[in-house]
Amino acid sequence: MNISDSEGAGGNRPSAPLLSAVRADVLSVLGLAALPMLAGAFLPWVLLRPNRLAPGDYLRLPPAWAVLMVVLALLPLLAARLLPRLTWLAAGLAVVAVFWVLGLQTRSALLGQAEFARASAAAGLWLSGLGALIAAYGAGLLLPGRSRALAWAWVPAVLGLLLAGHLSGWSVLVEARNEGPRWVQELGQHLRLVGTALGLSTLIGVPLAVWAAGRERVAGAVLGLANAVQTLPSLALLGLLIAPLSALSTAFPALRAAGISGIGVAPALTAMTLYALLPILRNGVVALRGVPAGTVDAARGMGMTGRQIFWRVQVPLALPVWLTGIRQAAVLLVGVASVAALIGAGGLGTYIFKGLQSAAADLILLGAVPAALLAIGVDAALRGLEVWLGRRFGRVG
Amino acid sequence: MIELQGLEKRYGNSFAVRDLNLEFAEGELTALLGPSGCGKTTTLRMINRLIEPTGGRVLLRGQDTQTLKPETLRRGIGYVIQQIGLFPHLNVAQNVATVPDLLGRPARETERRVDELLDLVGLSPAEYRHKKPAELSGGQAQRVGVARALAADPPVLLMDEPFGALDPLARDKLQDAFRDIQRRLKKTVIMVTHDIDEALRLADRIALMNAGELAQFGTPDDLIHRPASDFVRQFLGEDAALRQLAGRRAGDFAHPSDPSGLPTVEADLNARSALGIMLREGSDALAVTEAGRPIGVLRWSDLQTSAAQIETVMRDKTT
Repeated sequence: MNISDSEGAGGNRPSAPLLSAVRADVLSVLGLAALPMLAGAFLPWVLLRPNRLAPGDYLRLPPAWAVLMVVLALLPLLAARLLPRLTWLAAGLAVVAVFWVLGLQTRSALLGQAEFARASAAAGLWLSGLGALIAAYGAGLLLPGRSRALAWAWVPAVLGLLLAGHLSGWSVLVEARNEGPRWVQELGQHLRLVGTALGLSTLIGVPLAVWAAGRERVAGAVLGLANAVQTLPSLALLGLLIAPLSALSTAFPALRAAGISGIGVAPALTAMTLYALLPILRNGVVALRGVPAGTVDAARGMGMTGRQIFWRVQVPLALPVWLTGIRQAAVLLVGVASVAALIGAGGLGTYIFKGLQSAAADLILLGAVPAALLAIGVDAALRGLEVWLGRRFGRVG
Repeated sequence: MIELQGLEKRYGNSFAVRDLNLEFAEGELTALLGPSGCGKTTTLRMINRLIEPTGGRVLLRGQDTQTLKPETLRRGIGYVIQQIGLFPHLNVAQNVATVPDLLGRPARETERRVDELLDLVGLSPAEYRHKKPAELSGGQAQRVGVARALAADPPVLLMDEPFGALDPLARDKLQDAFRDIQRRLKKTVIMVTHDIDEALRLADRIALMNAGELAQFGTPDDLIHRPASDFVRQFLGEDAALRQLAGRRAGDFAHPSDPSGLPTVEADLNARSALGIMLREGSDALAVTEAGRPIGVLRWSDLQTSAAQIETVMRDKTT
């Protein structure tokens, strides 16, 4: 009965067994999602501390809210059984409810407290949030094709809560408010670091890849080197650059005047550019060499000049794989830029390391969560560009 | 039309092609035949200068090709290769339009030309114009390859194993289709092949090469009946005459006569199969019909007229 229900729109397509297999899959995902939510409902949601470093008290949800969370935990599972088409709504509701309850509980906990008091999220919230997001993911699997976007319907709702100030009691946002313009500045610095390094590495990597791709031995060396440098941890690379760059700036006062020294933006950008160069170079060489020899031969045989072959045949055919390299580089850079704070280059990493030093989890989150979201966003945006270009240049399948 | 004079390509101390003198007549299909590594592809690619010769000259209508820019030369010569080499990111119409676009022909005119060519190679323009190469079968893709080579209406067509990658059935169909196209357009075609059947079936003349040198140049009959050397005889094989018959219609050999009492075959049957039927039926003549109507009689001696040596071959086979 459930199976025929989910099939409704498709009619009697031959893929019926496949659909039922997907549904069993989704049910187990939704079941998996319900477990942390159920546990979360009975664990403390809020940690109330007199200030951001002091130990504090764990507060549980009032029974009525706990019951609500239990209901919301089971709702997606129930919906998938009875009304599969509306599972996304149930899961989305659960996600929004988690944030809603978080806002209510943190604010009520802070009532009557001193200014420095902090209401942080505790295990109950994290588990419930995790479960609700898994449920939203599972619900997305039930939606066909384009309507899959409905599984993300909770995003604008949560953003609305955030912008309306509903979450203003949550310690992470209290820290954010205190940091205010400085946080925006660090975010900007983060984006600048990533953008500059990506731009530099693309500028250097693209012509280098074109040059290397046509040369058997150079291409081999480039790919070998790329793989070797990629195994170096980013932290080690940053450290390795301190010595040569400080030596340079000591030797050439002009460089020092330009702000180049062993620590700060210069070594960070150098390391990041080197790092991002590798996927761009590697994918460029692989993509250009992957253009079928017969296609290039035919282009030459029909009287295209070298330049025409490059722009009309090699570039369009290499572009999808190449863009994948640039996307990997961009995502990589968002991560490496977080480490760059260690050598004084700034960025969101500043908050992560500040938080780690003072054991202030809220500060860590203030750096880590936006950095993670940034990486996901950059990945999604460039992936979209790839798909669009792929369609434009007519990859079939 | 095209003349090779003392053409040579050497890599270090070894010759890929050595002192090659050949003349390709206008409107004829010449097969460059030979075992792999004999230099036939190198020769073909020296004609449109994808490979530069180390010696000798290529004359196109009396003009030394070295005096032209390679790109200009190539745009005036159609080129079809084995891996087809269609541009996977362009659709069928854009692929066919490549050379007219390079030559700066008006878009409207090219569009018309593309449809005309797709019709010519047996693909319905409405259905195939917007397909991507990945959506085509091997045979369809190769038809597009031929259409693309013909797009700018070049007088000369170079083909490098054009049907080599196809399965036997698709190859037969495409060879037939190409023979019809060639009969209509009368291009000067130079086709590299290692497939003796293909050469015997399609070529007006065969240039058989061995180890970079010309072993024999002549009509298929010349090569079969008057082989210039043991190599030619061995390469074509003892049953070359039979293979040649396989490329001909029984109807082409028939003469008007009284067909009564004879076993009947269709005119479209190939002559080799007709010979097989003669052997099976123990008859030295067959009645040939076309669309149900008798058109004449095919006799044993008719087959011999074009294949004088068939007797010896037959004796080998039957005793």
